[in-house]
Amino acid sequence: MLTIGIMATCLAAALTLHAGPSTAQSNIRSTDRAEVAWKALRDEHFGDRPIVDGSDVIALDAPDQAEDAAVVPITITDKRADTDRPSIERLWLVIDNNPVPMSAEFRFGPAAASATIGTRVRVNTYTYVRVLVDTGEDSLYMVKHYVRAAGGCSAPIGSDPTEALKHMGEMRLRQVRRNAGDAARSQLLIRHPNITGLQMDQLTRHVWPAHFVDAITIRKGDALVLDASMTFSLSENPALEFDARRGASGPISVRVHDNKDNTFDKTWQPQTAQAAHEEETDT
Amino acid sequence: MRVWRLAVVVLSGAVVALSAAFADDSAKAALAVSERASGVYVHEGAQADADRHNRGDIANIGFVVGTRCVAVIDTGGTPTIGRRLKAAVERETNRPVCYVINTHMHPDHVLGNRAFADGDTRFIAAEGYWRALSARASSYLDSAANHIGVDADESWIVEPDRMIADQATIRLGDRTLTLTAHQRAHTDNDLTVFDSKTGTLWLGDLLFVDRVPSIDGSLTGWLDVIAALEDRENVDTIIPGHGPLGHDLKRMLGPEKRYLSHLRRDVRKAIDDGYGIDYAVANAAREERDDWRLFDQYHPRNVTAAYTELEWQ
Ligand SMILES: [Zn+2]
Repeated sequence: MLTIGIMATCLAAALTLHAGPSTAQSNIRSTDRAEVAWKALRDEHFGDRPIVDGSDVIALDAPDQAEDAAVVPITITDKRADTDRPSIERLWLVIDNNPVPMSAEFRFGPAAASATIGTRVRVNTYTYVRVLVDTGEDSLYMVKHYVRAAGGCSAPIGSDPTEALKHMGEMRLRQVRRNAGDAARSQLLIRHPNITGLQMDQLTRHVWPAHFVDAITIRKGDALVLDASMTFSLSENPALEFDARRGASGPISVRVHDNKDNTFDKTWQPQTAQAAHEEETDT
Repeated sequence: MRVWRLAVVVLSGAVVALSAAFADDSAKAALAVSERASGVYVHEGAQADADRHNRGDIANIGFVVGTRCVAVIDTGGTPTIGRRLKAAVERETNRPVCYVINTHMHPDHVLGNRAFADGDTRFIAAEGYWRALSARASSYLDSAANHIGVDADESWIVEPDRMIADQATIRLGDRTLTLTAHQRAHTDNDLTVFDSKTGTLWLGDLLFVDRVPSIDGSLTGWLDVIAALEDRENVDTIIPGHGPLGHDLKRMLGPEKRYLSHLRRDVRKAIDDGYGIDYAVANAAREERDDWRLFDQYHPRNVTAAYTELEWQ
């Protein structure tokens, strides 16, 4: 069993722990049992809309204990895909105890084959990660997963920020899967320092100003796959897995926007995207 | 010679008594060091993570004595360890410490620096050291407080007087040390120290022996540095950052090179085959598990670091 305590010595894990692991765990556990943070968030973002258990609609895969709090991989699987039930139109990712809990919001368009997505997030302290979806029915559906990790938002910037800026906006599109036998999905990789604004140089008291991707739009041909907005909760060099409709024609085009109003565009012609699919089905 | 030795013992006894007024009991005892080459003294830290039992004494640290003065190379995980190392210097020689050289910014190597910070001692590290240490200082201090159980504060962090971008030499009188900064590898500020008089090479954490290496810089960079180092000639004694010393450079680097190569091979394959990070963490380089101490604590993070590095190559 890996404990947070063990990780911090030589490894420069940059875990900002204010108490020993067991204390931190029990403190947060007791407040989370009441889900105080969530109750306030719920009212703020979803008002009186009923929220019901969503485990038949979506699955949330996240580690119980994150190896690296600044890179916590999560996968959200759409269980309504290929069914007759109303499909997922919107999806919210909430990390209760992060500085800005409402971490990302996704809207899915006609070129989305499903609402299945994957990304990597920062986790600042032990917390519930939750996903809510809107299918156009009366109630929202929700699932949650408790993640033990700490320091992700204040973890030192991985590379020299001036160096990172040189490559900012570079993008890649590739095919990924979680396990053998899984269907491959497209993954967009974006080079961006994604600075949280919470990474302080303790000695100079210099805080790197926040600079992060705040919107991603993906289209296939003219049709929308998804339109997403997010905070700095995504990891450095954001990664986003998505599920575009295979039948839809045209190139995959991506527009990325950041909070300093930079815009980055990239288009992959169908043969590139298609070649990747075919290569995947061959293996 | 005998008389001179006696004088040193009396003198260092006085110094130790003086410093004991400011420190806890364990600070009185000089750290156990052994002379591994002429004038080269090394203390081997515990092969464990810092805890209340080892009190942060987990890295290999030591000093080189010249006819003019002494260079200390890494200072341990707390000022108490630094003071005990200083007491060991004073037991072996009456020459002053003119340099503290830090092989990189990790806390188990630098948090003893303060013990040497009150005189004419100059602090030297590689370019990038101060940026990296400043960004992580608060978490290092929190971690020392939590895991070692000491009061840690910012006075533990000493700003270097000089940072080396490439290579530099420092003179200690009859001997000259060559300091070499390396490309991003274990960290982005790895520095090695070579004493040509005895052929002693201090590798810092560019070499882990028995304890699993931890990647806080670049996997591919580290493999490049190993390739450049392993055929080096005229090296008689090798001092790793963690684990026992030895004399055969290529053989000592072998297991680390194999681990990092397996990690690179498997993570690359996972990326090429379209698997995500979690798959790589569960599957990469698992055959290495029985060969390393602290594998379960550090390996999963190494995989994550390797994955996010290699996916952009
Ligand atoms: Zn180290």
